[in-house]
Parts: sequence; C-alpha cells; structure tokens
Amino acid sequence: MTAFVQLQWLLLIRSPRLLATLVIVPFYSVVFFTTLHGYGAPGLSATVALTAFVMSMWSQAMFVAAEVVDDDRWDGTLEPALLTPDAYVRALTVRVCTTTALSLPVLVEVIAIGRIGFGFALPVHRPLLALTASLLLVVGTAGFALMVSALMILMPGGRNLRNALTYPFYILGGLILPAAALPVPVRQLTQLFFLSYGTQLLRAAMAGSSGSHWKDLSLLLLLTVLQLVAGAALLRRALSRARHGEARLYA
Amino acid sequence: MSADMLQVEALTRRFRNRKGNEVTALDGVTLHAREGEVVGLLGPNGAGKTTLSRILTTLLLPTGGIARVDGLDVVHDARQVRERIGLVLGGERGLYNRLTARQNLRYWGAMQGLPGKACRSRADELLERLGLSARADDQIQTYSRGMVQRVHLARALLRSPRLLIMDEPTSGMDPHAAQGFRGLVEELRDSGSTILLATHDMQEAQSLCSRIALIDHGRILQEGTTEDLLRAIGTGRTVTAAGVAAQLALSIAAIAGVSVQESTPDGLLTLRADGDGAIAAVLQALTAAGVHELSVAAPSLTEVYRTIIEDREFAL
Repeated sequence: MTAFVQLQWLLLIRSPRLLATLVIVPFYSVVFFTTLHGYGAPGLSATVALTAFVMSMWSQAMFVAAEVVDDDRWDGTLEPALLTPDAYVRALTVRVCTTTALSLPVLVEVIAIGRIGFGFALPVHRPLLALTASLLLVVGTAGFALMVSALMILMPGGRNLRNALTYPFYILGGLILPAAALPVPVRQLTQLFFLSYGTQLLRAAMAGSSGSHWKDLSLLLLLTVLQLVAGAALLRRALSRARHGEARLYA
Repeated sequence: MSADMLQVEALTRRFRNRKGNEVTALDGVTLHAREGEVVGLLGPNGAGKTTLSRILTTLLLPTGGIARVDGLDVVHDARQVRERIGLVLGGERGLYNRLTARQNLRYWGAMQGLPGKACRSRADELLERLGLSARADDQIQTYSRGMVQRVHLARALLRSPRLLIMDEPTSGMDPHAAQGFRGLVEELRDSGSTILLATHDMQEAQSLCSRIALIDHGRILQEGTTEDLLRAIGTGRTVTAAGVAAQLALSIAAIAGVSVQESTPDGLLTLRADGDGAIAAVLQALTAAGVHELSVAAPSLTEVYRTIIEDREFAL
C-alpha cells in the first residue's frame, strides 16, 4: 500500500498542474467572503468556508483523481497494470484516495483566508468531529471518483459527462443550501447521499452544536463504505469488460 | 524433448467494428512453443500479432479455441497465468515517465506482489543486470529509447516469468540500441527463457528465433525453423543492380525463372532468380551491358516474408 501512495504522491508533485484545483478553488472563498463582508453577514462565513472546502475536494476528485485510470491508459501503463495478478483495483483505490486526500489542507486554507483576510472568527469548536467527518468525506468522494473512472473507461465521452457532475452534487450535498432548505423531493435524495451527512457534521463541528452525532456519523460511515465498495466494484466490472474487448485499454 | 510452455489450438477472436460488421482478428491460430524456445511471430500491421499477444497475456478473451501457458488456461486460470508471464511492449509508453527507473520497478514489483525488501533487492539486481544502475535514479523521461526498453524488460523480469511475450520490442530504436537490446534477449535465450517475439524486423527474427511463424489476416500461413522456411521457398537468389536501362530491365524480366521485385526509373533493379540457369543468364545480361554495380544474395527471411505475405501496402 505504501508503494501505491508513494507513486501517486510522486506523480502529483512532479506534475503541478494536477494540484491546480487545490490552488484555484479555495480562491472562490475570497469572492464569497468579500460578499459577506460587504453585506455584513459574518454568520454565514462558516458555511462559505465549508462550501469552498468541499467544492475543492469534489473538484479534486472529479478532475484529478477520477482521471488516474484514464491517465494510465494514455501513458500506456494500464495494460501492464492489468497483468499483475490482482492488484490494480486495490492500487487504484489507494491512489484515488491519496489524490482526493490532498484536498484536506484546503479546510485550513479557507479558514485562514476568512480569519486573516476578512476578520471572520470561524472557530472549529469540535475539531475531532471535523477531522472524522472530513476523512470520511475524502473516502466517500474517492469512491465516487472510482465510479466516474469506470465510466471514463467505458464511455468515449466520459470526460464531458464528468464535467456535469459538479453543481448537481453540490446541491445534493447541501453545499449551496442546507438540505433542510431544499424542496421535499430533493431533500429526500440528499438523505441517500453521503456528502449531505458530511457537510451537516462539518457545520455542527464548526458551530459547536451540543448533543450526540453518532447517528449521523454512523450513517455517513455506512454510506461512505457503500460508495467506496460500489466504486471499486464498478471499476472492476469496467476493466473486466475491457477484457471482453468492449473497452479500450490503450489510447 | 522439452514440454510445451505455450499451447495455442484453433484460437479465434472476432469482434464487431464501429459499423457493426464482424471482423476476424484471429482465425483458428495454432502455435506451440517448447520450454526454452524463442518463437518469432512475423506479419504486417493488422495481421493479428498484437491480438494474439493480448489473449496470451490474459488482457483479451478469445471467442474460440484454447490457449495455455505452462499448462494453464488463459481464460479460466488467468490469475495463475499472469504470475507466469512477462510482457515487453515496444514504443515510448508503458512506464511512469516522471518517476525514476528504480521507483518504477519498485512500484511494479509491489503491484506483482513482491514483498518490500525482496522487491527492492530484485529491482536493484535487475537494474544492475541490464546496465541501468548508473542512471537508476534519473527520471525515465530523460532516458534514450534503448534505455526505456531495458526498463520495460526489467519490469517483465521482476517475477522471473516462465514465458516472455515481446510485442515489437525494438520498434523505433536506433540500430545501436536495437542491437544492444537483442544482445539482452540473446542472454535470456541462452539462459533458457521461453520467448514469443512478435516483430517486423526480419534480421532480428533470424538472429534470435529458433522457430518462426508467419501470420497474416489472423491466420498462421507458415511455420518452421528458419532453415525449413528458406528451403521451402527454393534455391532462388536476389540480384540487385544499379544503372540498369529500362530496356535492359525489360529483357531481363523476360528470362525464364526471373521475377522482378523492384525496377525504378533511376535504374535500380531488384529481382529474384530461381535456378542456376536463370542466375547465370541474368548476370551475363547485366555484365554484357556494362553494369558492374551489382550484388547477389542468398535467400533470407525477408524473401521468405515477401514470398508468403502479400504486399498490401498500396492496396488500400
């Protein structure tokens, strides 16, 4: 497993374009914080910080992590990888998780921008809860990236489809508006989506809301594991279809 | 006699192209390789060489027939087959170019299930053996084509495979690099490795392979040792001459037993003459006309190839 993390880390740091999302997306927070500052609405600053963080994580997963397998296809490394006895899906899962996890420092980054640049308090009252929720979000988002990777193997226009997988999921994840403020049918959908539980828990961690969050944490854990398993299974199936000649292993 | 390391019986692969038409990439291919043998697979682009390599390496499923590596079925025992094979692809791609050779080999070793310490020492051993130690910590993107190919070979050797499958391994290499790479393959051959070598390069096939199969349109057209194949095309010689006038070329082409392979407007003539009488008549005609720049060559694998595989270069 260390070898897979090390490989992905080296590939990322030696190709800075792959880290561009992590630099650019947090700067959206500057726009949002400026608006809040202008309208005197500091109470929404935590929501802005969380939105910028989760958007960065999601973008990193969709636009960088989900491309790991497609990059392997372009580099001609996918074919030799599939010759290894059983390791590729495992390696890919670790590599996609590693890439997505690089978005974790963005939370610190946007909080620092809010505090230093705009004077918002942005306290994190329950850091352990925030960290746990963030880690689970990373794994769940990586699971979703694995599903997108599978689609990119199977569909020639997969990259275009992937571009559409941002704002609808920001809404489903309760990022643009809290899930409670969404219309009923959409709200019911959010309850099946791991991202909404994660953002809810992150809000609670920042606000320091009292009470137990075990139920939400358990649901988040369950949905995250399901998401990861589904992603790995879909990817395994996509690679197996390639063996039947239904998808190209090389570009 | 050694056991068969590779057994291919009536292997077929059909697929549908984008227009929905059925295309046969492999049509009942039968091929065997005994342990320690180097078998060459010669054929033009699109002949079926790569499809065969992909099926043997478990990357693609056949639609019919059987293929076994070391007695294991490539369809049903894919995992065990993967543990026994090494694939060497030609071309620039196939490695992580922003990583060093050592980092690449350690990653691929981990992928193949080698434990950490064993993986590191095996990678170091192969880097040393293939003459890459001095540049082992440089990124692959700074390597020459020949060095990249040696890293490909090192990766294939990580698990000491029972069968090495090489798909045009010297494609795009300069002559020195290609010669160096062939030297490494010779070492492997001499140490008893079984190798299936798909190539376009006749000289490479002739120097490395103990047996050769000619493939086109997904079918094995002829198979045998180089000597068998040369014997099969007869005792003809290739005559090449420069400064041959068009009229002279026409009269030589009319000699019985002569088939002109190439005749250019600037006077270059290449022909095949079958039988001692035809060779003597051609040489006499050329020298009588004052043509002194000429050569006579014994048949080589190139002639075998040109005789058996149809020329479709301009038939598209």
